[in-house]
Amino acid sequence: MLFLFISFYLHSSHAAPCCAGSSALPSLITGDESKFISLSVSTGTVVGDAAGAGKGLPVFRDSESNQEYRRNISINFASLISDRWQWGTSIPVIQNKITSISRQETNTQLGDVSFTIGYETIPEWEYSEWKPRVYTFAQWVVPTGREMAHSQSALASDVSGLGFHQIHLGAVAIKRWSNWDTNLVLKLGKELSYASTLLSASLGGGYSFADLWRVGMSLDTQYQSPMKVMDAFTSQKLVWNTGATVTYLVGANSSLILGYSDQTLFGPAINTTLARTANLAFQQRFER
Amino acid sequence: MNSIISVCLLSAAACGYSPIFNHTDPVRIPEGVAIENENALTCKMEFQSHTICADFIWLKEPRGSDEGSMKIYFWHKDQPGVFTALENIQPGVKLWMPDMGHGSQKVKLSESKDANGQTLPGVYDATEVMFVMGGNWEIQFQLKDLSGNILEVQKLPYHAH
Repeated sequence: MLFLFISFYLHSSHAAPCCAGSSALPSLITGDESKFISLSVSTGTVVGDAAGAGKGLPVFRDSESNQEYRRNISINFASLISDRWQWGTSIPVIQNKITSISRQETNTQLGDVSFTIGYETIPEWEYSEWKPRVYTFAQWVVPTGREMAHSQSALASDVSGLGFHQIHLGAVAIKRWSNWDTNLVLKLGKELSYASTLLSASLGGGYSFADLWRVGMSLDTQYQSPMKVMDAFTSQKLVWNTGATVTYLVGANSSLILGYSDQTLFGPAINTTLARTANLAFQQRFER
Repeated sequence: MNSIISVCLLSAAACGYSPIFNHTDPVRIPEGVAIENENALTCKMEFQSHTICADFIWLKEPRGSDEGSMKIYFWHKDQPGVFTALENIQPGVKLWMPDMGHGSQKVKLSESKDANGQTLPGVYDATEVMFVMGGNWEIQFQLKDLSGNILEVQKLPYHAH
């Protein structure tokens, strides 16, 4: 039962470092189910902008700044291929609403779709006090969303993707002790157009109680190295997400997750927008 | 337990740069700020390929998310104060955010006219100047051939609030 909470927890998604949203974590089965499908809706508000490295403190937006809201509706699916191999996909739809002093735009676009192949590298066939359950994965993010360079709207409200293919390799480690659990996700990626490196790490933990509830916290960071665009290098990007989730088991095989993510609590934040996001997800899993 | 200690150490390090404790508010230019005088124009941008100087004055500087407009002046380097029609070339203005590697909405450019509707040679109006987000930008002033190919670019830094 406790593994249900852990698997649900890992599928929460965050906004990407700049301008468009994509899932930081892959669609991966980390429990004992054979497949799952989830629907996630998040609503975020951009509250500030962080400049490039060494170029000053983040500036928080005020009533005269662009008012920017992002809604991300994503469908995540994962299924076992064999006892230890699995595949998954995430399909996000991004809606941006941006209001300036003289304009208002709302645009809905497909985001960057991702595919994942995972392998249960270290299974937990017997309980161990220290040995975690570990999954390794490869993730391909396809630039199906519209990137900033191809935006056709004045306020860039139609931007829904980062605009380049990304290949990631990563690992998820999960450990539980009675009602407590912790997880670590490490991901190293390369985007294929500008050859920049993408790094992300997430550390989380939670406590389950009354057989139906879990509360969790997480801290994750996403880094992107400089890219060469138009014969000049961009600044590196760095953002920290602090997350809190409450999970409720609706039935034996389904769950509701309410989450909150804040990019203003930890830093440094470099070359990124800063958002606060609320997330609601429903997940249905299917037993082996 | 180890993970809890790690979280605490990481948090202590990262909290020192917390945006919520270390940020500034936008610094707005005052409303109704006096427009610079044409007499104050200097050769802020020198297009060496055509020995042309250029400068601009804000008619309305972008404030927050509002759009701004500017007047751009071109003259031969050796004839300061005498604005010159651009022959077989045309100007362009592009807003570019180098840290992020993206631009903003397209700036509209038209020949400036006097009160009688007569074209002012070498003077252009740039409208819909809007920075899609706050931060460090470049205003790129371009000289292009009549086919739109960029011949030379001069970049001026601009901080959008």
